[in-house]
Amino acid sequence: MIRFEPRATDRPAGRIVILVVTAAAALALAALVLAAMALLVGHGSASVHAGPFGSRTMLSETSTRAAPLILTGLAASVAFRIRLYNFGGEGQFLVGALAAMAAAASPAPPWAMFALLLAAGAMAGAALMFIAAVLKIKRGADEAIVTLLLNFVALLCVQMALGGALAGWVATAPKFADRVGVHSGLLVALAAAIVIVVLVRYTVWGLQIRAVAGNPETARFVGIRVGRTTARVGLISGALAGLAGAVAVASEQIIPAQSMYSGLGYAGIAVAVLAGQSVLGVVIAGILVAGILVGSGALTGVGALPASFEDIFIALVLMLSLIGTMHLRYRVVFVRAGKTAP
Amino acid sequence: MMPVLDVLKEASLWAAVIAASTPLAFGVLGALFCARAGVLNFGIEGIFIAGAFAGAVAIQLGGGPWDGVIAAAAVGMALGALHGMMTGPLGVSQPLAGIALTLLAASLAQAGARMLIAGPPGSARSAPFAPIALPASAELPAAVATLLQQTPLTYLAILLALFVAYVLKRTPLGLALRACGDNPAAVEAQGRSVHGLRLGAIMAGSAMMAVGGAGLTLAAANAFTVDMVSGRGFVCLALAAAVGWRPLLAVVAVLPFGAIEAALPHLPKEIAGRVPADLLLVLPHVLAIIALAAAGWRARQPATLGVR
Repeated sequence: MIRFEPRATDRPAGRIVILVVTAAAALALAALVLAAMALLVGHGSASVHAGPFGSRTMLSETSTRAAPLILTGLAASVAFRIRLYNFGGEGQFLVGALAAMAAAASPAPPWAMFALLLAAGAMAGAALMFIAAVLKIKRGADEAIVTLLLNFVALLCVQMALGGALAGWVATAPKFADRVGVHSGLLVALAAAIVIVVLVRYTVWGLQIRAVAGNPETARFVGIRVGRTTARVGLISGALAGLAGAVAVASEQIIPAQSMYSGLGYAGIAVAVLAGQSVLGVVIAGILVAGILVGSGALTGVGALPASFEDIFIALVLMLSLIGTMHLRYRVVFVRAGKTAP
Repeated sequence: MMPVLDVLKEASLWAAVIAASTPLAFGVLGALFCARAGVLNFGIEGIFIAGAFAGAVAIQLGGGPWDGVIAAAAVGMALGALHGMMTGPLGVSQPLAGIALTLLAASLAQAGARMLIAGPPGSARSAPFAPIALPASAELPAAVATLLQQTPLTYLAILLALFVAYVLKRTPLGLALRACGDNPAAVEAQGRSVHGLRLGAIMAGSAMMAVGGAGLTLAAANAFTVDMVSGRGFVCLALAAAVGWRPLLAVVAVLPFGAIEAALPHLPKEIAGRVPADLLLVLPHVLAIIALAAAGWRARQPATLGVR
């Protein structure tokens, strides 16, 4: 019989090891699963979507892919701290991308364009999350369900907008990667990470967030406006996810198309859980996951893996991280049946 | 306006509404069965997709519609067991465990669909559920007879709703399950295993959810696309929460959503000349959000639901 005993102390040093081991295990498992499925069906691996690899090196490709992952990871992580379950990163990402495309199509000087893109994305994402936050604070509606439903609303609306009324933008969307440099997305992500760290550690808002994260009732007792703090965290979380969408547009990871499913919002949840509570962890986890996605694509010799593989990998990362986190907090004790525990 | 009102008098429209509501009915029943035991099963979306996939695979392999239902139920139970193990003994937070399950099930189903399901979407290998012809239908007024021409799956849903309501309200097992949701400490004090009871509830609930998913493929053209579920699982979860996890009320509450689905194919491409009819695809999700907001704090029973 197995029993779980809480550890006396947490094991922070083990966190990094767990991170890497979990990601590697998820990768191995995902590859195994796909191979098994292919074997079962008897023909070769699933159809592969060739992606644009172009002349970019693996490093620049990794940094490009890491940026939105870090941002959506931060979005999820910041919200999870106060037990605000923002599962709406996907929808916030999409509306952020749409807003960024709108900004890109507007007449503005190139140097201002990038900033405008980012601002538009952040605001759009924040607005979407705000709906869920308000419903939670005012009506007690479970934000986990509401954000998930809003994801689908956002997806359908964005797809319709791009397919219908705004189809003209597809042609006029300017190319960004050359102008702003491939690494600018990563810089934005790192800057956002630093801002979050400073916010949480050194500002009054951060203190309130940490208080609510610890115990909302105590925080309320001390005079902290929990509802207001929750709304703030929601706005920040949504803004980060929307920013991820803007960055993805700027680095051409997202282009206006009929089908806008990206999965990056959900990947952010996986990255956040993989990383634990620390912002640095999110950055490392984001880069790690991006690196694995790019690396495994290179190994199989094609520009990008079948979308299914990436999704399976992300899902396994999330699942294994959730289970693996237990190891940090609990010891496994084997108890012989009939005997009392030592 | 007049043509719309005339359409409302058509019994066939209402029959279609009931038929379209069937998968959602299974979904809400599964959701509330888990919830009464204290588990918010966010895996519902993934289980819907897996159930739809399992149903389609069963058909693909030459089975009949009931084989699809059984396959879906089995897949649902397996996924439910995974959820139960994660949230019970392993103590993983319920929303996160559910999302992980949804992502995993969805991605596996998509990969599987690419590999397994061959042929154009419309190619049906075997007939979907055929409506039952009731023996006494010749003596009933035509409208009622049309209304009662539902598939066996629909009748199963109705029976299941009554059964679930009965089990929860009137049986010791139901009482134990509800206690797991309201007061797990009391259950532990009696020497029973909360984890064990919840595991059973989650597995049963997930089986119901998966059958709902299968209802989507089996009632339609036996085709499976990953997009076909499109958030219905979460709509069911929201709806079940909004009606306070009550089985009979929940099954009635899905009817408007079934109505939307039944009406969609019949609407013109653009309404009032400007609004694309596709916009109505978001109507179920928006309505679900509104329902959840309207129910407000009352949607938070049982006491230990979703304890993180």
